[in-house]
Amino acid sequence: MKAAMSIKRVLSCSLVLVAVVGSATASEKLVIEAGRIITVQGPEIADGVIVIEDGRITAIGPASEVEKPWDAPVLGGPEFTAFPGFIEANTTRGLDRANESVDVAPFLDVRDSLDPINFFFEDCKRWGITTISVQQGSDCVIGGRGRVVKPHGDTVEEMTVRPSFGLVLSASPKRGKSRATQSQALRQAFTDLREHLEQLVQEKRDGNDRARREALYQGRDLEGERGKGRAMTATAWKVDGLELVPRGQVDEKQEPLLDLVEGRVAAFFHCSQPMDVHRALEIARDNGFLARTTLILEPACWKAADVIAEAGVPVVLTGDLTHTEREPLTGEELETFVPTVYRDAGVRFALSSENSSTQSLWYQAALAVGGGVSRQTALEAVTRVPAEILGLGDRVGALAEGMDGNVVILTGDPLSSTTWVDTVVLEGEAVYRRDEDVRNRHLLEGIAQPGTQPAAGSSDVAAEAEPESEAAMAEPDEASGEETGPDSGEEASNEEEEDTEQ
Amino acid sequence: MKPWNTLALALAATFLSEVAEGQKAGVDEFYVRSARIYLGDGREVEDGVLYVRDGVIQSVGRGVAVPSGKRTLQHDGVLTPGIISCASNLGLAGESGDSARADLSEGRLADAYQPSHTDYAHALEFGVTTTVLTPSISSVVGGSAVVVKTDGSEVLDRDSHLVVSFSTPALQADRAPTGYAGALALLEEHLASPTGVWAEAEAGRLPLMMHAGPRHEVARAIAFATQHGLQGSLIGAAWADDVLESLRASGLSVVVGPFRTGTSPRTLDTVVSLAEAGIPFAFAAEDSRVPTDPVRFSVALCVRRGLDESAARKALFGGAALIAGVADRVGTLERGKDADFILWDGDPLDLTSSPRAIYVKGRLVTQEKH
Amino acid sequence: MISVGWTLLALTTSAALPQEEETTWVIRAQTVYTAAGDPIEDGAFIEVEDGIIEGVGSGSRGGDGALECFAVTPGLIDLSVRIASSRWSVEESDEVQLAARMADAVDLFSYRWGREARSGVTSALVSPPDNNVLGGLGIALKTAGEPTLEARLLRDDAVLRGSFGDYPARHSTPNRLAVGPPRDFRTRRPATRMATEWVMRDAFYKGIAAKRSGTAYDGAEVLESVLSGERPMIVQAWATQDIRTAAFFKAEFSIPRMIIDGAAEAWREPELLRSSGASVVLPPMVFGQRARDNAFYTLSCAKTLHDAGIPFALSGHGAERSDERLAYQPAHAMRGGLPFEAALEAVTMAPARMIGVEDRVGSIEAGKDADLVLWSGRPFEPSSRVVGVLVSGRLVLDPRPTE
Repeated sequence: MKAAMSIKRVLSCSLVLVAVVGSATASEKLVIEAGRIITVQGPEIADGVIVIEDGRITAIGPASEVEKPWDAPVLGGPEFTAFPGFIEANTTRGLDRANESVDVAPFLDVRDSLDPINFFFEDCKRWGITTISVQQGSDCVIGGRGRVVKPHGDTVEEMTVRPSFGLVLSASPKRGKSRATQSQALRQAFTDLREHLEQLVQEKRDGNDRARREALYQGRDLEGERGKGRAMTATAWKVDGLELVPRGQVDEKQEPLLDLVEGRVAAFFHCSQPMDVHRALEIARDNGFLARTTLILEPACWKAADVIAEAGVPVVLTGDLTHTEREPLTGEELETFVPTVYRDAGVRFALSSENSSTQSLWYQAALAVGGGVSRQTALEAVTRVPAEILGLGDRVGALAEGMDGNVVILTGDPLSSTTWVDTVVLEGEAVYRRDEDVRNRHLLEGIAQPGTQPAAGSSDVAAEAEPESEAAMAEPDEASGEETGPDSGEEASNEEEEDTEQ
Repeated sequence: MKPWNTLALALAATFLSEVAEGQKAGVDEFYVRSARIYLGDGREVEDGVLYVRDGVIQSVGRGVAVPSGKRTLQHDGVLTPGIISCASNLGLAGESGDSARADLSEGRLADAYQPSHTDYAHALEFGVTTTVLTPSISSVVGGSAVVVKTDGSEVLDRDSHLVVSFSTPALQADRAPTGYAGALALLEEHLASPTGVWAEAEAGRLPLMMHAGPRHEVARAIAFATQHGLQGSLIGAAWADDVLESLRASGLSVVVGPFRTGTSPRTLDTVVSLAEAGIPFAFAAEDSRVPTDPVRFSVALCVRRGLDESAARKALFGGAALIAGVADRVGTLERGKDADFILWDGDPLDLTSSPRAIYVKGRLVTQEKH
Repeated sequence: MISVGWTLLALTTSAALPQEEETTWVIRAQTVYTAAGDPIEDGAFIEVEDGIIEGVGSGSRGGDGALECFAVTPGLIDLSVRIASSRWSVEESDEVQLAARMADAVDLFSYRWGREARSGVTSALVSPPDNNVLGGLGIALKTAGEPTLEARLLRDDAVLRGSFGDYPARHSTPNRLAVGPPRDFRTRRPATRMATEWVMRDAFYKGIAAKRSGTAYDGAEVLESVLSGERPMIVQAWATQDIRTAAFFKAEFSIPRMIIDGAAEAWREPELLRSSGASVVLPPMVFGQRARDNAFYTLSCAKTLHDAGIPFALSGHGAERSDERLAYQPAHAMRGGLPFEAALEAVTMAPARMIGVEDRVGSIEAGKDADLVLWSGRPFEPSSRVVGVLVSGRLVLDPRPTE
C-alpha cells in the first residue's frame, strides 16, 4: 500500500515535472539552436546556441562554448538560422483609423485605438516582426501619442513594450490644407502652447486660482509629482516662472506639447516632399525637439538628403524604394534608388514594411541590397536602426547577452525569397510556430472547396470563414479584389499622359 | 464768299471726296511707301512701295515709280501681308461638331459661317485678314473646312479641306467609334469605296487636315496619309519632333498652336525643329473667347524659343496661304493678289508693336485707335 | 570584334537613355540561365552580333568592352502587360470586335514601355482592355527600339482577346431608365456573367453558321483562325467559376489553343485545366491575396499548375511600383514551392510558346534575338536587381558603372 502510494506520488510528481518542462513561459528558460546565428551587431555564429532566461539572453555563442541548461526546452536545429526579431519603426496598422479629424490632437493616445486581435499583429508574427511602433498617421497637423508594442497579448497592456512613446507631426499637408496653412497651423500650435503657459504663470502671479479649479473639475491628478511645479527645461524657448504652476494644472490638451518642447518625447515628423523636410527641421529646431526627431519620409524626399544629414536626424523610409519622376520635356521616366542616396549622404535610415505581407521588412531589406546597399546596412535598417529610434537599442535589434529574448528562427537566409519564419520567440516565449499557423497554410495552399477535395471536418468551415475577415482587414485603399491596381489606375494615368504632350 | 474760302472749301471737298472714293471698294488707286516691307515669302524690301488698284496689288518693290499726284501713304514702320490663320473655330462656337455622330463627311462648315459674327472683327483688329474655319477635333470626320476673309467680304474657298480627327476628343464613350481602332476602321471604310468628298480626297483634289495630339496619334495620321497617298496637313501634333523623318517623307504640313504661357517648351522646340527640317507649317488662331492676339502670341513664343524669324513670317503669310490652299489670292505681296496688307508701327513678331492700319482688298477696314 | 561605336540619332528619337546603335556585344557572367537546358555556371559568356545571339558557352571571352554581371537570363516575356489600358484602346460600340487590331491603337511612345524594358521585360503582348466580351486582336511587341511598328513587331494580330467574368459586365449600364430613350449603346451590353458568356458563344455560333451557309460575317477569318488553332485565344478569367466557363467553352468549340489570363484560382481546378489543354497566365501577387473578382490567389498556385503539367506563365500587369513588376513575381511563386527552373521558364519559354514566338525569343540560344537581362545576383531574388537589359541587341539599361 505504501509502495503503491509512493509510486503514485512519484508518477504525479514526474507528470508535474513534465508539464513544467513542456511549457516555455517567461520565467522559464529556453534554448535555441541554429546552424547559423546572425547577431547583426557582431560576427555570425556557426552552429550556435542562444540561452534565454527570464526573457533575456543570458548566453550566446558557438555550441561548443555555451552551456545549455539541462532543464530548458530546445527549439530550432542545425537547419535553421536565428535572427533578431524585425523591428517596425513606424506604422499605423493595428489602429481602427489612422487619424482624427482635429488638426492638433496631441492629447490622443493610440492605446485607446489599438486592437490586439487585428490581423496585422498576427501577420507580424508570421513575418518575424517582434517590436512595433504603432503611431498615428500623417493626415494631421499634430497627432497623438503612440506606443511600442509586441505582436502578442490579449490586451493592449500585455502587448505594451513602451507606453506613451512617440508623438506624430506632419509637415506634409493634412487633407484639405495647403502647405502654407499646414505650416501656419504647426507654428500656431506652439504659439498657443506658449501663450497658454504664459497665461498660467500670469494667473499664478495674480493669485488667480482658475487653473487649479479647472483641473479639479476635470478630475485630473494633482497629487505627488503632478502637484509640483517645475521650471521649463526647454532648449529653444522658455516661459519663465513655470515653476509656479503645478504640472497637473497644465491643460491636458497642451501638456503633451510641453513634454515635446522639453525634449521628453520622441517626435515622428512626416514629410512627403523635399520642401517638407526643411519645414519639419525648422519647426523642430525652433521648438527644441530636433534631438528627439525622426523623419518619416516618402520617396521624393531623397532630394533633401543633405539637409537631413546636416541635421543629424534618423529617418524611416516609406513607400516604393525606387522613386520615379517623369522628365517634363522628354516624357521619359527617371528612377532613383532612395536608400543609396541616404547612405551616401550619411543619413541613418530604417525601412518600413509596406502594406503587404509579401512586402514585409525582410523584403524591404532584400530590395535595399538589390539596390546597392550593403547587406549589413540593409539588415541594420530593419533591426538596429529602428531599435535606436524607439529608444530600445540596448534591448532589441540584435542578438547579444543582456538583450531581450526576441529571436526569429528562420528556415534559411533572412533575405531569401524561399525562407519562412519557423518560430518566433518573444521574450523567451515561443509565440508563433509555422506548423501551427492555419492561416498561413491557407495563404500558401488555399482552402479546399467542399466537393473538390476531401474535407477535413469542422476546420474547413472555420477556414471558409477566414478569407472574408482577411478581405475586411485589407487596407481601405485595396478593396477586396475590385478595381485592384493596374486597370483602374492605368485608365487614369493613360488619360493623364495625353495632357503632357501639349 | 471770299476766294480763299472757296479754294479752301474746294480743296477740302476734293480731299473728302478722294477719301470717300478711297473708301469705296475696288475703285481706289493708291501707293504706300513703307520703310520696310515683308513680302510674305521670306523676302523683305527696305524703303519699298506698294501699288494698289481696284483692290489688287499691281506692283511692289524698291523700284516702283510713284507718279506725281497719286495718293500716297507714307509709313515709317513695317508693311506686311494680312495674317492668315490655318485653323480656327472663330464665330463657330458649338457649330463645328456634332455630339450625336462622329462622321460628318458631307458636312460643310461653310453652312455655319456667319460673316457678321464679332469674332471676325476681333480677329481682324489683330491683323488676321484670312482664316480657315476648321471642323472640331471632336468629330472623327468633321466635314469640309472653309476659308474666309475676316472682314466678311468674301468666302475664298467653300470646301478647302476635308478635316478628320485621330485624337481622343473624337472618341466618345456614348457613340461609335469609341476607340482608335474603330476610328481607323471608319476612315479605311470610306477610302475602300470613296464617294463624295472622299472621292475628291482620294483623287488628290481635296487636301486633308488631320487633328492629332500625342505622338502616337501623329504617327498614326502620318501612316494613314502615306498609305493612301493623301496630301494635306496635321493640326496640333505638339511633339512631332519624334516623327520628323516620316513626317518629311509624307509631304504633309503642320498647323501648330495656339500656344499659351503654360505650353511646354518641348512643344515650342518642335516648331523650331519643323522649321529647321523644312517642313511647311502655319499657325492656328486662338479661341475667340480668349481676349488676346489670336496668332501673334503663339508666334512670339516660338520665336523666343529659337524659331528663325523669316520662317516665322513665312508661316504667318505666304506659307500659311499655301497650306490654306488660297495662295493664288493671298499670302504674299505680289502682282495680281488681293491687296490685303497691314501697316505696323514695328515688327509684327514683336508683341509690343500693333497694326496702325489694316487693308483688305485695298479697303481700309480698321485703323489704330488713339 | 567588338566595336563600341557610338552614333546618336539626332532627329527621330529624343529618349533620355543614350541611343546606342551598337548591337554587337560580349557579355560575361558567373552564370547564364539559358532557359534551354542546364544553366552554364562558373563563368560563362554570350556573344551578340547585329542584334542576334551568335554563341553562348562556358569560359571567358571578350576584352575590356564586355558587359559584365553576376547572372544572365533571357529577356522576360509578359503576356498580360496591360500597357494600353485607356478606354480608347478598345472599340466599345460593339462588345464583339473580332477584327479590331491593337496595332491600330497602341501608343509606342508611352513612358510605360521604358518602364517595362528597364525592369527586364523585353517582349510584351498588348491586348485590348477587357471592356468588351471580345476585344480584338492583340499584338506582340518588343518593349524597346524605334517607336515604329516595323522596328518593334514580334507578331502582329497574335491573339484574339476575350473576357469572361465580371469585368465586361461592369462597363455596361443597366437599362433601368424611367424617362427618355436609352442614353447610349451601353444599355445593350451584357450586365451579367451569363450574358457575357452568351455573347461569346453567340459570336462563335454566328461565325460558324455563316461559314457553313457561305454568308459574310465580320471577323469570320479571325474566328476561323482561332478554331483551326492557327491563332490562340486569350481570355480573362480570375475566379473558379470563370475558369471553368473558359475550360468548358474551349471544349465546346474545340478551340485548340486557349490561354486563360489572370487565373488566380487555377489551383482549384488543376484536373479540369489539365484535361482541357488550356494554358494559364497567372496574375501578379496581391496583398491579402484577394485578386479581382474576389479570387483567392495562393502562393502555391504556380506550383500546383507545374505539378499538374499545365503550361503556365507569370505576368506583371505593368505595375506602378518597381518592386511589383514581372522580375519580382517569380519570387512569390518560388516561395509557394515552384522550383527555380520552372519559374524561369514561366517568364521566358512558356509565354513564348503560348503565342508562337519561340523561334525568335524566350531562350539564350544561337540564332535567337539578343533579348537579355543582366542581374546583380541570383535572378528573381528581391536582393538581386536587373542591372542591364538588351532588346534586339540594343542596350536599354546599361550595366556599366557611370564615371
